[in-house]
Amino acid sequence: MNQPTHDELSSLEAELASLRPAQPPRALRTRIARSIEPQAAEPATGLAEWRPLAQAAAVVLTVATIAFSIEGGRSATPVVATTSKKEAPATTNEVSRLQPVESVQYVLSADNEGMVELPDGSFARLIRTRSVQHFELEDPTSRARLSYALPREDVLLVAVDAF
Amino acid sequence: MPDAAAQRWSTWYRDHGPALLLFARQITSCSADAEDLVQEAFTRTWRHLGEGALEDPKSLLFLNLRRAAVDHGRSVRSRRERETRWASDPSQTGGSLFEPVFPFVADERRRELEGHLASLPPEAREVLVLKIWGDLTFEEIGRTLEIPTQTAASRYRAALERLHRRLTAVESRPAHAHLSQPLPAAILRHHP
Repeated sequence: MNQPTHDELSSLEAELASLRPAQPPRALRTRIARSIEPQAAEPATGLAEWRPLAQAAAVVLTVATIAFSIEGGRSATPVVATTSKKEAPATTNEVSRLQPVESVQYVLSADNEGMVELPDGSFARLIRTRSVQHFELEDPTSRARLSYALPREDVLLVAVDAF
Repeated sequence: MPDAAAQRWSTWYRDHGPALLLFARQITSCSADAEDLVQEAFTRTWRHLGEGALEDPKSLLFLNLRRAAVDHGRSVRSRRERETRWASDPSQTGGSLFEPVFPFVADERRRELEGHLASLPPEAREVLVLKIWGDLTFEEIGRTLEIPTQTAASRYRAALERLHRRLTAVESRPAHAHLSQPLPAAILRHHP
């Protein structure tokens, strides 16, 4: 039998490389997390990655809310967010002056988590996306702007045709 | 666990988890055993490098996986016996080794490749998986399998040639070739 040529082997190599190994089951990740660090109960959700961003968003929101609560936001002095009772909490009316002007969603990752069988017997591909949604609000009178970002994690089911 | 450390091993898992599981499934026929080996590989590597490790431990993960297999008493002999069973009954492996490919025609080819890959000897499959999907160098493959670098390279080429021959043999066979084969004697006895 003829020996395959270098080109034929390279072509086969490329074809093999185009195949993607099947994703491990999600439970395996949890098991590894537990074996590496027993306290790490469920890192699979990736919530830890979002914590700094969520904290930053919360701080921005708090500072901005307090700033708007000080007479039309015209104060020239710096405003510091504190938990002191002297600070008047923002009222619904004050916050509602802000009008949404822009919203942008940045998708950071999209993971294929394999096929799942739905209750009706059909199959779907599970896609988990992680994104950050940026919001821009504006006060029409003072033109003051509030920007904040929220982390999101969505799970999408994409229907798969069975042949 | 500090977030940075969790992030680090999560990155290892994302980048190498699928290839490690594929490699483990060349060593053991049982998908549960394969997952145990992957878990053990991560645990050993994490203990070895610790949280402060900055380098990508790809090669070390594969090495630890194979050592875990050896430590758990998976001898070459029993492995071969299992692999023979595995090759004859792919349903025992816990599903496809690779992600489905679309469209359907392309997925047929994927299944064909997977079937021929499964029919190769374990040594050939291991070296193919480590090179193609593990993305290891021949030197790293040699360390992982405890064979000389040159042996790893020649074994890889031989495995590719063998796979190519099997694929071309199937492609060149006439679609109804099996009909020209003589009928088994048992059938002839009952239906002369």
